[in-house]
Amino acid sequence: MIRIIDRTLSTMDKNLPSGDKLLEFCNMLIKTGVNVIELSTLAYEKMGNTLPVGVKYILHLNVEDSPSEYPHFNTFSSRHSGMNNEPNIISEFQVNDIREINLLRQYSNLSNVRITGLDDIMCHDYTHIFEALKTTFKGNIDLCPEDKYNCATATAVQWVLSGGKSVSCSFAGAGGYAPLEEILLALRISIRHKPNLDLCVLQDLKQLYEEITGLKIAPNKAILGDKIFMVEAGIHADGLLKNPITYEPYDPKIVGIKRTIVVGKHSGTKAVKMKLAECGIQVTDNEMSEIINKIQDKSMEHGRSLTDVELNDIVCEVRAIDGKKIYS
Amino acid sequence: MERRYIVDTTLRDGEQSCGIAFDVDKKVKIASILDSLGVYQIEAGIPAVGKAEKEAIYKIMQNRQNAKIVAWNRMNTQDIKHSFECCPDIIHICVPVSYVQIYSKLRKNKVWLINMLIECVSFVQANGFEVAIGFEDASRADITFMLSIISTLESMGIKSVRYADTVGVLTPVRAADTVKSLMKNRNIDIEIHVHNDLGMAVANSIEACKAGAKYIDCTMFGLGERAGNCNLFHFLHATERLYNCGITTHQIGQAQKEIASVIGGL
Repeated sequence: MIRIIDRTLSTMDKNLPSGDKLLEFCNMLIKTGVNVIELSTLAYEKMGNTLPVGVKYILHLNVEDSPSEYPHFNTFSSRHSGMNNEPNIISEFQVNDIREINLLRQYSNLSNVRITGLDDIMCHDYTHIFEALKTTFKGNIDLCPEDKYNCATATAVQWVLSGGKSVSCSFAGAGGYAPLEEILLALRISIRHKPNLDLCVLQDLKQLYEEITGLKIAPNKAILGDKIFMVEAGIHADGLLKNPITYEPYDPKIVGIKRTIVVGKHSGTKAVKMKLAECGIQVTDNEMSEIINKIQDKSMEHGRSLTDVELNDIVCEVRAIDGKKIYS
Repeated sequence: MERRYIVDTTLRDGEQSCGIAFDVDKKVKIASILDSLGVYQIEAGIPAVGKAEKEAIYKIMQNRQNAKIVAWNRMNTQDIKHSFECCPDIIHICVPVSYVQIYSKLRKNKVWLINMLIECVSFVQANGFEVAIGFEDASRADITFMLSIISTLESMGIKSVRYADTVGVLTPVRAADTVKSLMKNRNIDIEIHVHNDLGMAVANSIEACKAGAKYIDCTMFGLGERAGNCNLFHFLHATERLYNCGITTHQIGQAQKEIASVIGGL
């Protein structure tokens, strides 16, 4: 059993949206197949102290908070201060330097621990470090790698591949943790771990996340970006037409994205033919050669791929047919 | 610190990302910034794309100070002829090695592939150019088949092979294990080329380096198809205490600013 804890709702205290939006976010997270949602006390209070069913919850406590103030929760997490050592509290330890792992031995009696940080673990012998953690703690270990060096997803995935039972992460890497969506897809591809077959909800989550945080997800962001399944290069478009898995790591439909072919500087004959065929347009070899030259010139002039309207203009220009629109 | 070498492919794989197209002037300026930065090799483009691309690569060669300039090619002699016109330092031949690429995309077989590879390598060598080989979709390929191709390549004097995670599905443990296996069985240098589809490009590159890969393919800003390639800044930032790549994070920060100003907004 692999436990995936999403902590996004414990990272938004500075710009918490309305309770309704938080509930909507929670419901969407449940659809991704996460096992546990962790939230801050502020987020919980904003949600009117009510939570959607279908998933387990962890409440993240500040050092001054007491579990007894939140009787509806069975499990809590808190930075380790020596004050809260009850078995239902996950004690968090921040490890910024792998040499600090030796210092954790004094806490080996704890039954629930979370190790955060480990940003640069990939620059060391990570398998050895994982073993050291497993030897140190006999109880449950949750790993919550941080992403300062852009290796958090890899660390979380390798932790699971090496027998780790629990990882914590956040949607789009909120708060500097491993991005949930990357872990979901990486585990799906590498070990066929599929807590939920349909991950289309990731696009809805993205939209809501952008609305709540005011942050725009980059167009090439892994799993979420608007442009990750737009294809321009001619050789790849041809391969994709013959068999999509030649150039795609997974079916775009799984994550709610549609594959689109666009033309641009690198589009060869096959890619352009494919694009025109979408509209039932056939061109002669001479016309095609001229169209490709003009596509290249215009792409370089604009520094980007071309829109359907721009392609239409080029075809009309080459054919000298005024006013006839290929794309409506 | 151990030495590692950066191969920048911003001008080839980076430019293949949807929505990016550089004209001749921009390519020449970006190459010049990368050269000053201390990049070991610059993959400058695909000559078969057209006249402007060939002109850009030729001019990049004329301006080059230290970096080696690479022209990328599909595995056919027609494409390679276009590269000859650019007079690059290295002619790179991309060899699709996974069965899905060979049987679904090329609709050929392994015997055809090896024969075509030998023909192309011989063609380049006969024309006096250095050859580099890239294994496309290597992360989904049969390692024994790759080893057999490497054996053929070794006999033709090829010294290094690019291992491409074309669709970005590698995990760190597989990156390390495969690079180790290839290097253990054959006397060849490995160049690691990964994509960021699962957000693990930096970690996979690091693991490949730890396993012995000597060359690391990166792009500025992580540009590249789909979710992009290994981001050069991120790689250097993560490994600055591990490897000497001949470039500091301060230098790359400055180069990023200069390239962003050439591109004019990303």
